[in-house]
Amino acid sequence: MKNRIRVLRTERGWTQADLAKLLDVSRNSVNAIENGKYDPSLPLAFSISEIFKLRIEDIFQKD
Amino acid sequence: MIRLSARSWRIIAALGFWVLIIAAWTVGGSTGLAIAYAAGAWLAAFSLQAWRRQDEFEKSAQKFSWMFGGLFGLLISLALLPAATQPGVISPLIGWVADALGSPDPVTPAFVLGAIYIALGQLVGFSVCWVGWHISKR
Repeated sequence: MKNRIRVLRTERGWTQADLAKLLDVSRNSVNAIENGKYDPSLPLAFSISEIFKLRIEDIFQKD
Repeated sequence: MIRLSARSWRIIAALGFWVLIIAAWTVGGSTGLAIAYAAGAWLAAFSLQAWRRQDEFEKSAQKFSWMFGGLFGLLISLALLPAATQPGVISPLIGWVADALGSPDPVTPAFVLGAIYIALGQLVGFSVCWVGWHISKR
C-alpha cells in the first residue's frame, strides 16, 4: 500500500520521532510505514488520519 | 499500573527472573522449586506488561518470529537430532546437567537436556527470524 505520510509529515516540519510520539508508536514503525514496508492496522490508520486531519483514503492508496 | 516502556518491562522481567532462578538454585530442595515457580510467574507477569506496551509493529514482528522462527527452529532441532545423539556428542552435556541438578536419577538429566535442546532451537529460530524481519522492514 502506498501512502503520503512522509510528504504530510515534512510539510508540518515533524521528524519521524515527533510523529511516532504523537501516535504512541516507535520511530521504526513510522519509518516502515512511510517506506511502504508495513501496513498499519485500521485503528492506527485512523489515528494517522486524525493527526493529519485528512481522510484515510487521502493518505493511503492501493498499489 | 505504572506506564513504563516495553523495554523497561522486559528488563524488569528478565532481571527478576534471573535473580529468583539463582536464588532457587542456591536454596535448592522444595523451597528452591517454589522459588523457581515464582520466577516463572514473575517472568510471565512482567512479559505480559512488556507485550501490552509494545506497538503493533513490534507485536507483528514477534508474532511472525514465533510462528515461523519458532516452527523452523523446532523442525531444525528435530532434524539435527540424529547428529546430536551420536556417541560422545551428548554424554558430556548430560553429565554437566546431572552435576548441576544433583539428581541421582539418570533419566532426569536426559529429560531436562531434551527440553533445553528443543527450547534452544525455538529460541534461535525466533531470534534469526526477528532480526531478519526487522532488516526487511527498514
